[in-house]
Amino acid sequence: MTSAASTASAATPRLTFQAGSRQHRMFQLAGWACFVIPMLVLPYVLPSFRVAQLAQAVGWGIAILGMNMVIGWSGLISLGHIAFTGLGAYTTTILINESRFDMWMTLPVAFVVCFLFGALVGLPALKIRGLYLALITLALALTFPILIKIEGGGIARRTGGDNGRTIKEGLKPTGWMRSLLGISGKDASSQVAIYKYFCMLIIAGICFLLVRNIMKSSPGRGMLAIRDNQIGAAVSGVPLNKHKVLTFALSAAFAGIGGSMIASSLGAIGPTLVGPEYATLTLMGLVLCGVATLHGCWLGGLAVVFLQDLAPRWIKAVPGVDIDPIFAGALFGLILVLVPFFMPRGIVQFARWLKARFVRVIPQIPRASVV
Amino acid sequence: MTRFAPHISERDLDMASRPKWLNGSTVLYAAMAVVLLILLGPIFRGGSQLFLQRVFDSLNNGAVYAVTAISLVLIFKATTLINFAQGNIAMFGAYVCYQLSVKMGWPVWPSIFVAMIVMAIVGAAIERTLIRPFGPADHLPVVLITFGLASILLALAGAIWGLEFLAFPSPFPAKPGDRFTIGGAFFRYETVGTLLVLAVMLVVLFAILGRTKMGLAFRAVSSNVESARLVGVHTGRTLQFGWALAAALSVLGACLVAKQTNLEPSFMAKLTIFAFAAAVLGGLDSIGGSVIGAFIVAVVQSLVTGYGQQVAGFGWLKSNFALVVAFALILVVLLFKPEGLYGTKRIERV
Amino acid sequence: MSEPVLEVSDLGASYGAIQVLRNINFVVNAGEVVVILGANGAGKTTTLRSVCAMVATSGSVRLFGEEVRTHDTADIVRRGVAHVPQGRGTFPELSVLDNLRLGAYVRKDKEIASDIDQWTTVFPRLGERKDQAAGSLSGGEQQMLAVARAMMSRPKLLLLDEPSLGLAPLIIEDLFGRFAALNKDTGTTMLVVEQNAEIALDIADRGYVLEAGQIVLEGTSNELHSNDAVRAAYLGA
Repeated sequence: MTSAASTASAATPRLTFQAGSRQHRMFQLAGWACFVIPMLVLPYVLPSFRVAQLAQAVGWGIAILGMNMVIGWSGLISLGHIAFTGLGAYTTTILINESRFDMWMTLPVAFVVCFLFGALVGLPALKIRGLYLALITLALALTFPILIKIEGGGIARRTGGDNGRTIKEGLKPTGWMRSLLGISGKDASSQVAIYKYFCMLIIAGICFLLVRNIMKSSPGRGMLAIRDNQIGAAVSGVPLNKHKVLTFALSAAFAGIGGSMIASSLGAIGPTLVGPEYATLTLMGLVLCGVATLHGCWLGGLAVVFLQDLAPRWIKAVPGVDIDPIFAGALFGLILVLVPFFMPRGIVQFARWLKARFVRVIPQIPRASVV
Repeated sequence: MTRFAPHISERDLDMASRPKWLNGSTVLYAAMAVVLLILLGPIFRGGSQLFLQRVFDSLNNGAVYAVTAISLVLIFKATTLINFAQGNIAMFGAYVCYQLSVKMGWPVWPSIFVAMIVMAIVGAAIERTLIRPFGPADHLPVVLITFGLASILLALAGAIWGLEFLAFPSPFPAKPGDRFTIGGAFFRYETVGTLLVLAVMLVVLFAILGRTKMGLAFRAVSSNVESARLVGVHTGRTLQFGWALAAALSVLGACLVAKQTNLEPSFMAKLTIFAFAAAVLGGLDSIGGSVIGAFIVAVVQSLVTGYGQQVAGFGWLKSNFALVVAFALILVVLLFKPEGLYGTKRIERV
Repeated sequence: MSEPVLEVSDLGASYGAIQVLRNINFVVNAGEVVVILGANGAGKTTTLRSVCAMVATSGSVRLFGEEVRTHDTADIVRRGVAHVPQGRGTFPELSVLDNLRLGAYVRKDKEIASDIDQWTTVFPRLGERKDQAAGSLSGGEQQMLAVARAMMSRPKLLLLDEPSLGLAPLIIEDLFGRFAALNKDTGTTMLVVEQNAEIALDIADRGYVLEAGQIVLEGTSNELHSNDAVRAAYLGA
């Protein structure tokens, strides 16, 4: 059977590679370099508040990674994952402040806590489907900020209620770290910013690899099967209940890690960061950048942080329009409305489609073994 | 794909091993009974007058929830879609009414009707441009679009009319003295008016659905959309009609409540959630059911909020009691009887 | 001779990427009962759905001489086609009366009420259950309701999709007897798609055999009835 030549698109691709060949690998490496090099270099050339924003974006990216697991790969519409992000963030904050945990030690705790709560939320999800699930998870997103502020049982005292809390001991680089990263003694804040950024990157990288492996393994494929055809998956032997609960649990855990990282990079946490506004923002970031793609998550994180930052300025810049920048919410709403029409699978898929028009990789034809 | 078919559903299989009486409805009623029992103590201590007052107050809420819930049900019936933007469509209509009555001096009721018509047109436009391109099974786009729409409407309202709280004219006589006194408790004229509006609205709605051709078409599309096409119904236009009607009704609900809660862009948020709770409880595709659900929600809220603080352990939920009650209701219903008290069981054909 | 009521040429139909029908050609003339036989999965239902533009199609579908393949379903229906889908397609929550009224949805004349009376006389069970929800009727009753509803639009062409499915043998005989009577009394043209070849060929004038998305045989009902291949495959002889 001839290769994909018969189903080629109208434009002839300019570059053709044989999979696994030297050229192909060089091409892939070049692609990676385009992303990796800026990631490593930018913190040194940007002012420190931008670096802090980048760090935050990575944190939101991890949170969106969690959301993607449940919405993108499993097809279960959960509008409430922001609650898990918040749970992770508050867990980290409270542990550091009250129990003198080290920031790194709070991560596994946050993971487990969010995993358990995610499993708990996943249980109703077994019986509730589709839009009903969206409705009930929306309720979760709206309830979480209220629960944070409950004054009984010492909850509000620990969470700081309406005002939130700052983290006493954030991420701080130790001596040998400084020399490793090449940051010199003078500028304290930018050092810390750069350190934090690389910490985020490491955690993000670990999460990325973890999720990628999960998706390639049996639970991951089970999720995809559930998304595409629940009943078909069930009769094919996918244990629906176990998988759905597992999916919620894992996605909540990763969202929680994201929350922990956001809290530690910001140095503080408050109820607005875990409420409906950010639920909408993360949803927007997710669908704009790429549902069910790994790379879309990071882009989504960038979107959450930077669109929020830039939107008020864009609104102000529109001539003749005298609207208070508070109405950035309309811009995000507009994006949500337009995405299903113009880029239903997000920017990443669009980029892939674009790439496919110019680059074609011919798969290796498996050799028949000679017996 | 028919919904009401003598087929074995997975719920039936599920329940084959459970005792007959342990079904969703009994769980729901039992839960409500338990709540009432817990509150029995404070209710007695408060006296009959306080109890009556709470009940009367809840009647007003119930009617308002009912009007809004019906608009949600109309759309769900016809399309099995949940419109997350319904609340803000209603809010925008209330602002239009404000513009007409306060800023331009029109009398209240004509303003309300014109606002209803304006938003009906908007609702029809939304269906045509934003919802119709997507198939009914495609949930994510609809969630995104209605969500986004809600944000846009919110920002638009704030941009045009500002973010401060505005005073809304009352559709009924509502001075402090305008009330009956029954059993020592006050029954406000406003409540009477709201209940009357609900009654009239129901009569008109059932007349439209039951007696007109468009109503018949709407019921056909709600029941079996493919067969509706096969009898020559233009499903697109019918759905537009449904969205327009739903928008108009939700605006009515918003206008009824705006006097009591002051007009500001997010004033419909809580009401929408209560209306959802009412619709879910009563059955998302049952108009009558959602009316009953609305009153149940209102009464339960009123009693729990009014008396719950005196029961040990509830005090910490203070300010958002009503909201938490609504959420709890939605969760319990969706877990045990997703079709609500009066909805039709959803059966999926393999 | 007048043009055929329905003329399908080189029809292809697909669900997404899956091609279900290929190069389908058949004709239905005025007043005829034509049957399309086939086993499960042959594409019979898809054929009827193609006529009503409910699936993605290619080729040509001519109704009363006009090309209608790309038209709207509702538009095709308004030209005088009534389709009784597989599984009856009743409106289960609506009353029997409402179902019948919907059958007449496209009509604007004043004889709708008398037609309802007529059909509830022809099918007395429907008259008895006029105000009952259609979903509570038995299978056979629902089938009668579906046919009555279809006839309410006074169609020139009646499409029946596997009317015998799920019905007891005695009821099937009764039903098909009524189809034959309908055709004789009102001259309504019928296109019936069936698995139950025996009973279908009894009332048909002509027939086609569909296999794996293609027409493999055609002829008068007598010819098909005596055809060895048909007998072996569908008549259990």
